[in-house]
Amino acid sequence: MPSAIKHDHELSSKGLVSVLVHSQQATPDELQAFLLKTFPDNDCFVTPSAFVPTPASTGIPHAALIGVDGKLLWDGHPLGEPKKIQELIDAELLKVKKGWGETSEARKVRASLYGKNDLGGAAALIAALADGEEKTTLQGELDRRYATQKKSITELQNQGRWLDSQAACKALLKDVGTKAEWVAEVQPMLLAFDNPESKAELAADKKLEKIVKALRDKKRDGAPKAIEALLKSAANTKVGERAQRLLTALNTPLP
Amino acid sequence: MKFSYLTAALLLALPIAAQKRAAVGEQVPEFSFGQFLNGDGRSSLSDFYGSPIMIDFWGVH
Repeated sequence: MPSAIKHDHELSSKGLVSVLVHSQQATPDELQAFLLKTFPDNDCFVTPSAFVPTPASTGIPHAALIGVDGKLLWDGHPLGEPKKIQELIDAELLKVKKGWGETSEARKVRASLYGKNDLGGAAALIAALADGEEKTTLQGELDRRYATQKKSITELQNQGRWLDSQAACKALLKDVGTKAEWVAEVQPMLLAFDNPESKAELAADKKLEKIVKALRDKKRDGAPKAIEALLKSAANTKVGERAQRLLTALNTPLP
Repeated sequence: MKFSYLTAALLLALPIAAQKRAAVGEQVPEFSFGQFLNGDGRSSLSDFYGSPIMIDFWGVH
């Protein structure tokens, strides 16, 4: 697991997604408690359990690498073949940057879409393509990418991560460029951050971020009292719910 | 009674056991990671299309 966290810190900005799948019985609170106390700087996605259709493993630790196009590239012990894993990851990150596909047009669209996250640019490139299977495929990828990023704005709010949600919304508005129908959808979402309820959430999240930063720096002692103080002013907010989950995890004994 | 529990457990396990698993070089069948503790709304494999994914299976106990 430390190797996954290290990979994530080094390569997430280049496009690597790291997922930790827990393989034994533990509640979400226990997992959160373990991560807070043992790996407070973890930024990998963490799931309490999942069936992943890669080769069955007889034990842990175990890891699998899936490529940009959903193909399984490697499966085995995470520390077993570090050079090979690194080479495979590097090759995939190069695909993210340069694009992939059988034609130069497809590579150009994917470089724009996944390498630069320039959704407006990708839309213009796709619009210029001749009708056919490739155009349909790339259009589907673009639509899915936009829908996923738009959905994440709301999801981050539901999770009490309003600062992240606002940042994602600003980024998406920039990324869609001048594509009018998307601007018309995202612009109101960004404006909604100025209403009183959103401002209350953002203010609470700024306070919570300071507490989270202290936890990441392994300064745990003052965190419970700081969260309790925050909860008094952030009642009935999504950030308050997140703060409460954090407090519960801090008070949960290690499994 | 024990038999009933065993049968029920096997029946519940069958759909998972029957699901196809990808070998190295093959397309991974669509699946969901479920609810992430710290997610951003992406949960299925297709939501991550365009990004390489390193999955680490681990345990606390």
